[in-house]
Amino acid sequence: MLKIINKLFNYFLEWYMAIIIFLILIVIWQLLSNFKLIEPWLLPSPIDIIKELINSKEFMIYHTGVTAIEVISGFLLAIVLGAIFGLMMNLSKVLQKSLLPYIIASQVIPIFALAPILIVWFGAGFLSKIIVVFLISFFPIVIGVFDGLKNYDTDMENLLKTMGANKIQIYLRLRIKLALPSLFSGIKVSSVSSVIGAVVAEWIGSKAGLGWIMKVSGPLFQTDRVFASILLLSIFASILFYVVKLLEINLSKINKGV
Amino acid sequence: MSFNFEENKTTTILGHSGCGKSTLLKLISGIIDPNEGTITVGNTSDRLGKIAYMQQRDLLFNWLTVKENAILPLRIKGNYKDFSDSDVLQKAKILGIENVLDYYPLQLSGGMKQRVAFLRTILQDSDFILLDEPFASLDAIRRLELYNWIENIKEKINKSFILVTHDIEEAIYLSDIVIIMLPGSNNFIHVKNITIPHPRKNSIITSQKFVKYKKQLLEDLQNVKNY
Repeated sequence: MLKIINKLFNYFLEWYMAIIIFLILIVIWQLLSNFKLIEPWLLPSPIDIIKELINSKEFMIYHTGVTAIEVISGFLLAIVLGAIFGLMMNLSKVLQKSLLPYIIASQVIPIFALAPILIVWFGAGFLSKIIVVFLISFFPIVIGVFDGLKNYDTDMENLLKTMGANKIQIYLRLRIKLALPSLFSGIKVSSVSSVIGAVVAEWIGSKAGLGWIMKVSGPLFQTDRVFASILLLSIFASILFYVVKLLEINLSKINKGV
Repeated sequence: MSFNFEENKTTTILGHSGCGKSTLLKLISGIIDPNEGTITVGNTSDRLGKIAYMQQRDLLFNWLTVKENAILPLRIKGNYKDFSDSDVLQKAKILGIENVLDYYPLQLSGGMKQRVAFLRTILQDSDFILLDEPFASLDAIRRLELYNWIENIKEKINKSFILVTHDIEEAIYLSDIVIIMLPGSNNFIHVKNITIPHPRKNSIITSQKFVKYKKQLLEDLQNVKNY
């Protein structure tokens, strides 16, 4: 416990300028609202947003959960399939030539154009959201794996060969390890964009989720609720990003002991 | 060309830079196959996994500890369990790296890394060991230390070494047989037997016999240049 407090304190020392700027902005924002310089239905004060969060706690938690499940499912699916496809394209030139154009093509179609169709096809429930999240986060991961596996060290591979290693062992012991930093770059990019994917999909057609709240609350001028959703989304996206970063530090460090 | 490397002896291939010494080791180890002819170890030309090969760079995996690096060849063959930790420790002791087994390579000096790579090479279950200028990056004092360690460890293990170098002293110190390789051509010439008894100590470098060998080999190398 003491260790955690100590760590937080160090973190504060390192980032105190950013934290102070944040606090100043919040105070200015609050004052603008208090002195009625901005109408609260246009820009609710920070306190109003917190109040809204507390008052409709259960409602907010439920819809955050819906969005979180959509994001995490699609994101994990993208990691698994991205890794498999990246590996397959590395192993076979034929697969690379036949798959890569379609993977790139899938990325150039704007998700905003694709989402309505997907919702028609797969309904307004979870499935269509997971597919949208998957489509938006698949590309950086598959490219990350594919490019990462291009890193290799001929001398080290020769060394493993003289030890009697087969191709699978060379991949497990060396190639994949060298590909991990690039894979994690892809996963980090995807971790943020996957949240955007879920919100876009919810916006276009859904019955639940933070994107849905924003869509229905805006026209009703429940701006405090919109802002509360934005706040929750940012918190969720940050947590996701840092979880990935933590995994990266533990798994992909190549130069240990320095 | 045809040549038999003798068992339990150290054979050194000496030659000018670029005469194909390293390529020869790659051929022997099985990393590349010859365009013509055959290279056999025992009765088979299937050599990968049967010959340990220490390259010029230490090639340690920076994400594995010293011990994990050293036992990598055993892990790959899946026979680590048959091997005792005490054996690893004993050989590490001879090389003076028993205290850094839990360190990572980047925490070690160049000389230590080279010794770890050497430990990994001798732990591999093989009768032949190829060394490709393994000590070229070390200073003179470190090299002498390492020669000493190698002499000590050769006492403990029955293995055949094939060493490639352009350092005449290294060649004499470590080997029983020195071969001079001709640049550009496909022939070995000037096979020389070094008859100083093992284990050799650093003091032999200034012995008369050593200096005589050195003089002869130097002349031979110069003759090769004029070939």
